[in-house]
Amino acid sequence: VTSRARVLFVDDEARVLDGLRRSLRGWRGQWEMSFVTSGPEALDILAREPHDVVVSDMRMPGMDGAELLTLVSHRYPEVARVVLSGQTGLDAAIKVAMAGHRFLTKPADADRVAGVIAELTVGADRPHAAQVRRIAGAVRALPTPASQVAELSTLLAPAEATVAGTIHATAHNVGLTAKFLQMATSPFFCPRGGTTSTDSVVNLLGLPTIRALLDTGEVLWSPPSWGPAVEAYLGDVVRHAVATAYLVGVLASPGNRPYAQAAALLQDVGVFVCLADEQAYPMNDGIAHRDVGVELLRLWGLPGPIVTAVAERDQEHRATAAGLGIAGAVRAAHLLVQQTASRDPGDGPHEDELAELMAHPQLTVQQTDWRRAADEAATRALQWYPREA
Amino acid sequence: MRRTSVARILVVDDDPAIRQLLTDVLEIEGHEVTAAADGQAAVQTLETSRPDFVVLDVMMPYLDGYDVLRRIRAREGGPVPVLMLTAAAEPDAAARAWADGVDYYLAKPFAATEVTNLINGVLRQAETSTG
Repeated sequence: VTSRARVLFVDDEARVLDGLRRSLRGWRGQWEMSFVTSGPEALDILAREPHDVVVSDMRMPGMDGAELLTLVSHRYPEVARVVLSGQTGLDAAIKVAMAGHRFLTKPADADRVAGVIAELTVGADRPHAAQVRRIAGAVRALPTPASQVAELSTLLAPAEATVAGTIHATAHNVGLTAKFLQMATSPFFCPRGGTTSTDSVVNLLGLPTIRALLDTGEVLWSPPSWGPAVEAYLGDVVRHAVATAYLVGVLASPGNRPYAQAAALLQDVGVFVCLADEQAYPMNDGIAHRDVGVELLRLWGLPGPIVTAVAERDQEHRATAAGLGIAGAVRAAHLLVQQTASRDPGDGPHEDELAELMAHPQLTVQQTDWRRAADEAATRALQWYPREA
Repeated sequence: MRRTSVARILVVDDDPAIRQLLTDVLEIEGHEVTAAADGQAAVQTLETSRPDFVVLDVMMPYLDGYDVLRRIRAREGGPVPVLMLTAAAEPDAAARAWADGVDYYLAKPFAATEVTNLINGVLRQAETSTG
């Protein structure tokens, strides 16, 4: 048994803290909980003792929650940041979206608060857990290659932006997809929940919220340090992700398609995190970008099936009679797209596995030439995001 | 420790024994289960709620499993994964299920653990390091 996780609650209303203390009493065996009424007090405690999770109110006199959590993100990126807020205006909501990992609504539903904290405190004993959490925790929004920033900014320009155009842009961009899913899975932004597809996420958040997010300049950005070599490498990563998402959009079963497409697009999300974190990247001894990516998606609360499919992308998949599932569909589409870039298709290291997946009745029933479909997906991805001459 | 990944599951089967069995084992796993005794009841339930997962029997009076599946697929608000349960006696049951666009398929008779393992496998949160 590992030591108890440390959780810090911050709210200027003592009544709210009392309520949390009472309703979370049953968790004292798992967590060591502290309760403070202001941002400066919270920072004092964090400076004295390492913590796993901070749960903070947004509206507080003096230092507000956004300010506190932004400071926490710089000083202690390994601490998971949970926002617990009442209804706010759009400006404040956008600050919430950038400062926190998870967003919960007031009045606090104790089970929900406990559930989120429990999710954020599992797995702390994994190898490299602390370093992986530090790199993933620092992320406020994912970067995008500079050439794509220009393209997407045009597509999302205030005068021209339509729901359809915004969905199109989101479905092709790793950073926007991750950020919107992070927001859409939280009751703060989508009280009714139940989002699965990029279409429904864009519709649920609405264009004004998306516009306000874009206006922060933080969600479509490119690190100034990225040179042509990084851009070219990320171009290949993006094209592979987009092609896999196209392909899995026809290959996965209808009910699994939205999560499968999101997972395909986010399959190498860790590459973006690691390349943007200049301090992390050169010395990432033993840290795999996939672990960092999976940690980010977990921190951000993305749906389990998406996280699992990303985590298992490079694991050999044995399909069962019950169906390929999301992870199986993403794995199959990934291998098929990877083959299109190979000089000797049909002779790769995963050929037996791929042949077995292709022979699954779920895929054979469609009577599609999947290798050809993969070629077409790769060609479309190249059209969307051409290689630099 | 309490489970954190609770899913809302709709179980549709006209056999009360199977309905009860699935409800019990899925509730033990911590899921919120709604049971419907036939296709008509399932369609009514789906009008007001959004399950995360549907377990659907094929052979039911009035509206069969495929009728319900078509209604589920025609709904707005994002697709829902469906596990179809088919009778072993039915020839080409699996082929029909895949052709009609189910997401998961099990032939009867099945062990309750097959259903819970499958659903937990689908809905679980990745917790292990990929190394």
